[in-house]
Amino acid sequence: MEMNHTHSKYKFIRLSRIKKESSEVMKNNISAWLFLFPFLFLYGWFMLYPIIKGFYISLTKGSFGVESEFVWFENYIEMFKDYHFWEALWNTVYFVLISTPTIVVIGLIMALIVNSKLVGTSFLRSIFFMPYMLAISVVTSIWVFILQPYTGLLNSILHQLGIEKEIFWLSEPTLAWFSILFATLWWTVGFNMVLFLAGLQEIPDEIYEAAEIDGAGPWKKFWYITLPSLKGVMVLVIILQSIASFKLFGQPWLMTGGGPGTSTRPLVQYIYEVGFKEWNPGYASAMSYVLFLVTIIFAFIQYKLMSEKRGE
Amino acid sequence: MKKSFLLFTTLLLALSVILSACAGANEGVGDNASNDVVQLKYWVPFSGGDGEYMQQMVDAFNESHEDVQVEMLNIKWEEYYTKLRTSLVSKTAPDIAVAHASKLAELVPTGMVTDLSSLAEEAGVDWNTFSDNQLNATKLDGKHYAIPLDTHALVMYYNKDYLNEAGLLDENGQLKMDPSIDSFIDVLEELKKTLPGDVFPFVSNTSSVYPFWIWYSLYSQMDDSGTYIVDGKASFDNEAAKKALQVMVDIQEKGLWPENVTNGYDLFKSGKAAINFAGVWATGNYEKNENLNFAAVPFPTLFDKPAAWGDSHTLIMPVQDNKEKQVATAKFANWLAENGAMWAKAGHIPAKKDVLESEEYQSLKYRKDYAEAQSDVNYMPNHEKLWPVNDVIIKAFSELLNGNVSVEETIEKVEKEVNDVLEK
Repeated sequence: MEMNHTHSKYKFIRLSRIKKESSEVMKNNISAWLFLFPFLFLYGWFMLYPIIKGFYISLTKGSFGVESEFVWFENYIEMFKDYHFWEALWNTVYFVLISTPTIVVIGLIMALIVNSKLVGTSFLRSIFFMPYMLAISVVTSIWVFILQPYTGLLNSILHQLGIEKEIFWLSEPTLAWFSILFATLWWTVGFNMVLFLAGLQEIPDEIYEAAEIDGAGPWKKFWYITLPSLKGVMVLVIILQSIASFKLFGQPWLMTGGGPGTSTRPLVQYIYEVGFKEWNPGYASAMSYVLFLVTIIFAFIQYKLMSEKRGE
Repeated sequence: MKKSFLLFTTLLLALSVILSACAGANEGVGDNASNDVVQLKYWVPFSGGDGEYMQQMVDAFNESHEDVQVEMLNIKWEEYYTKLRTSLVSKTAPDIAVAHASKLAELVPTGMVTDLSSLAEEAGVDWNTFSDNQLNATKLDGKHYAIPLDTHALVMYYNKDYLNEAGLLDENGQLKMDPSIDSFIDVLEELKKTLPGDVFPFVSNTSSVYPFWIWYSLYSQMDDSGTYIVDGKASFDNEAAKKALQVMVDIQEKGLWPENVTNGYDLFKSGKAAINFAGVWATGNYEKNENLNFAAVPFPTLFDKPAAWGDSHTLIMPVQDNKEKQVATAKFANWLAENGAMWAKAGHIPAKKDVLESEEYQSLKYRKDYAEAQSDVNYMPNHEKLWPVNDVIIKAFSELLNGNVSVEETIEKVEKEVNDVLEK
């Protein structure tokens, strides 16, 4: 009987504690929601709502602000017949293909150099990262100044070295892509380097020492220790780089205008021109959702491939 | 318990501050009727050197008028029309804004540009004081939609020192040349012989707008030319259009006009070129170089009649309910046009006839030398999609002058792509 009495006393205490806890939890919940509300409100209004409304706009047709007609998927169908779209899409994909391996590999090389802790490498680290702090318009102004014909810095130097021919870095199709790639590399490789550096510094020295004892040379150390340890960072850097390359717009816009003609015009520029020069928001919107889809699929495939390949 | 109550109250206070700030911002708009001073908002796209001159004019207006005060907002050129059209469509437009004459066909269909035909009378604007060519450019379907401010045309600049050395100037310091294309090419060939090796006889940008503007000037001069948008379709496939393109290619092939020029202004300004076709706004830029001895004249007549590319800055009044403000904007616009001599410092040609004859204007160097260009300006076709069509042409003609495409291919391409844009 005594035990029963105690038992029910504990039950009573537990119940009242639960009741007290649930009202505390409720108050915490309300506070939490109140804290979150301002951000969620702005996020919903400026991020989520436009994403949904944008898709709706892609299902309409009409000159901006003058008329708007619901036309289901007509814009998407028109897109597949539009060779300007395919050209711009290919230009973007081409840039993703040439820039991703380049900027990733060079970022890795820079990280390896800086990590070797030889004399001057911490100075190099700052130098390599500094361009990343600049705004796109500054970066392109610098490179246009260097690469422009007749009065550009690079051509002046080449002339001094005896090369008489005027090289058109920004107006010949292949050279133009090279210029855009190089300016982008100079601008953003520092970011990849920083990520790789963090990854390299995680690798414990003992593993390298153990390898040396076993007689491993620098190449074997790199291939069997460094690279596998960097796998996670590598996947991250490659995916981030390719997503960033899909969004290419500023560099060709400010350096070549998408030219000569339309040979360096990426899809984002075409979307901008259709939306804000031709004032055709429906079609521009449709293209932007297709770009979004292409980017996501590409990133997804990369992730799957890289995870499987390394046997995860 | 006390904690969460405090929290709750704090957040509620914070929210109410934010919300009242939002509400407060909107209240100012309707109040002006009660004030004596009419406040006008004025948008301009003069993010280059022009902006200073316009600001000076606005300041002068504000000082001399007690009942109307104007606030000018200078928007970056690249973003201007995006912002203007968006504001028209969302009914947040300014009281008065600058718009190119060639843009009117795109802005008027939004239904938000006021028809000035009756408003002008109330405000005391006399249409007869404006030059005919310019006034016509602001009329659509016989209605006035804008007040002309200026004309900016493609004109010819030449380096007097170089031309003198080549013996090409007459006693008055003017270029000796017959009004024919062959004569012009002869002038360039002559220059090539006498100029130092690193100076070009002729320069203009070979990308961006100049190939298009030069082509359009040449095309407009030919008798059997038309415009390039007819009945909503592209109209390039004719001999005159091809000839105009061929002329430019020939000049390049003879080595008289270098390839891939992106900084034509700099090259002429620094004395690296003898002749330059540029917009009138280059005058202000070139005169900054004291060592440059140059002249500015209308685009030379090289074919059947004088003509050149040009456009005009005009003033539009977005639709609004406040009648008092609308009349004030029309008066302000008229005042700006009347004081065109101030605006001419930027190089533009004023739209009002009596301004051209005024002492103030005549005393400005260079500008009166090309003032007559405004009556020969052949305005671009009126079409809602003119500007995107022009973008297509600009790209195609740049490719022609920079690359390996032929005139035939360019005409075909431009015809097809312009039709694509017109049909979308």
